[in-house]
Amino acid sequence: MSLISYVTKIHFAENVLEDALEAELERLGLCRPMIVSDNGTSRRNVLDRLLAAVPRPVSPTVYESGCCRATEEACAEAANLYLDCEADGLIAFGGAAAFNLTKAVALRVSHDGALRNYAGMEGGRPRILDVIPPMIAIPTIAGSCAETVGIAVVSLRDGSNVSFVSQFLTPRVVICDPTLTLDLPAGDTAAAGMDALTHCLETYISTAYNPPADGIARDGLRRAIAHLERAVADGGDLGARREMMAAALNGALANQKGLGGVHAMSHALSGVVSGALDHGATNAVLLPLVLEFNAPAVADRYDDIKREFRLPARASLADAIMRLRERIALPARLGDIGVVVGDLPRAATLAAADYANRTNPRHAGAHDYLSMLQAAL
Amino acid sequence: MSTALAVHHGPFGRVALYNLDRSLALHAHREGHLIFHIQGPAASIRIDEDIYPLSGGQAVAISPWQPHNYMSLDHDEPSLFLTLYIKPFWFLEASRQANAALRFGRSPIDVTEQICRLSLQVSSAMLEDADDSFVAGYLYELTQACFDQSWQWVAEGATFTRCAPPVRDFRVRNSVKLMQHRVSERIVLDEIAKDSGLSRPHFYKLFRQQVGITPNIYLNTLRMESALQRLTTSHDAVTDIGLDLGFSSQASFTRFFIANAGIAPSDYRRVVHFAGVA
Repeated sequence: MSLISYVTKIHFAENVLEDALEAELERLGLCRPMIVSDNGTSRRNVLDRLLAAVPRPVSPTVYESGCCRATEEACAEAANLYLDCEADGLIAFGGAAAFNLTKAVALRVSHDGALRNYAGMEGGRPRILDVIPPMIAIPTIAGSCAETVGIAVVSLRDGSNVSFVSQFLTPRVVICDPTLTLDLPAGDTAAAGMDALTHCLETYISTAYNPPADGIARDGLRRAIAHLERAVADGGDLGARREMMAAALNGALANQKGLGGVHAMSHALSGVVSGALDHGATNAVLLPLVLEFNAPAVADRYDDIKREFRLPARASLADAIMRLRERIALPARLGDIGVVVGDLPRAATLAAADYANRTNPRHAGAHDYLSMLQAAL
Repeated sequence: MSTALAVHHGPFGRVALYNLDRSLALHAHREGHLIFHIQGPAASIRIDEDIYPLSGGQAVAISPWQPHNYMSLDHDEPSLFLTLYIKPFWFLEASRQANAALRFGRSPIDVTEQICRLSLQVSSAMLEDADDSFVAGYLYELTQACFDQSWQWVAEGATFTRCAPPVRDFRVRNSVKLMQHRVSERIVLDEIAKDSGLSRPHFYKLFRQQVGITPNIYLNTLRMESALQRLTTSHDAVTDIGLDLGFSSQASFTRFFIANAGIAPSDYRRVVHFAGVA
């Protein structure tokens, strides 16, 4: 049922950043890359390390974006900077916001007209051509699962969230260096880790038929379950950091199989809620509810997942997720992370229209999502 | 009288806006087929053995070679339908998701807000002669949304279609080849049976078993494909096209075409538009 393709070149090793970056900049012929970073001032050290790793005479420009989502405004601003400094490629450095924004900037600087015209929902896929500047993706959290994916999720000026989907939006190279995540605070580690776990779980039960993606997702799930608590408890545990980065990479690689209801709702909420919403924490709140909703449609796949959790066959998977969430101190309710009741109806409508909803194992409409969101508030 | 408002041919296959006020004969297509009710009275459609409504809330998906026939319920007022005939390979290349044969999980498609919006966008892009890439882009999204939904579990009908096994009997494979070669001749199926080394009853039974449709429907599909090809890519007279396909007169060819496509061949030729890009 699927056409399966894994094409991105991936470096994965501790302390591989410096060597890999130099080699890849040379291979891609980049002299003036623009770095898009979402690490903020509190993690200035990781950006300093990246800048120190850029070999002479390459001269990078840095664009610092917000940490939660990519917006059309930021895209326009970064695209202007890209053109002003005559950049010849992009380095996405950070998490989902940096990856999404980098892909959107790459699209913006190579394609004319309104950004919306290229959105998947607007039939934009065939209009995205093979003229995108080269991108290198370097995650500094273990969890965005966007580094090997040809999708950019962007909030447009009118408040809607759209996805740009094209194989050409996939970064050419990914550099996974787990040492870049050693300084990530426990709360962010927990949220990012739950995001990675959710990616693996949702892709594993999605409707598409893609055996390699199933294997990758299940392996990622196993690594995340075994190491998430350790990475949260002791940020300096390099072994746990490495396993979590592997779980996140697996989540990204399995992404082509399609996500599900958790991501449909968290994409929708991020466009509706007025403040910044943590994507991983949102997923952690919603995951148990979606697991319950999908139960009649999934059959034996939950048994596979329970084995990874070392749960008896009759135990509840949703309960196991809730216990894990509690142990890593993530919030249990949407109300705890800034969602208010007035946000829910619009979020439910947007969730039903979201790409991720298409591959949820059970057909879900806006009313189904509204019930789940209300139960999660 | 049924009419065609717009027909686009392109790398995706075909897409048409038909105003239908009469029922069609049982037929099948090589392509993945989607039908959306746009306006007018509701109708229904038979797919295999089951009958489904075609209304504002429900569209249908028909897998390649699945026999079906449209059934008009109101002969006074026509209903406007958007019908897609999607080439499996185009969708496979574009989507990285599809079954190689564009096999849908089930026939009824719940017209969600998004599917409704996309079907209207395709329709208006066709009527307004919008840029071809818009029609192709919306078509792709619409097909993908319906394809994905057809594989999602729903409480009221959780069983999915099964993939038809490949045709194994060499005599049936041979008969398929013969029909393809001889479509432009006046074909008699008895001869095809004989040349494939089968008795007439055995040929019908075996063909049905292995291909899933009768040899007549298969042959009609080949004739329609050939007719569409010549109507849209040549200036040959409708009469000549009919005669070359083995029909004795233009009237009988026109009757055959209307029964299978809903509209007259000259009407089809008048409205067809070629989209150059994928």
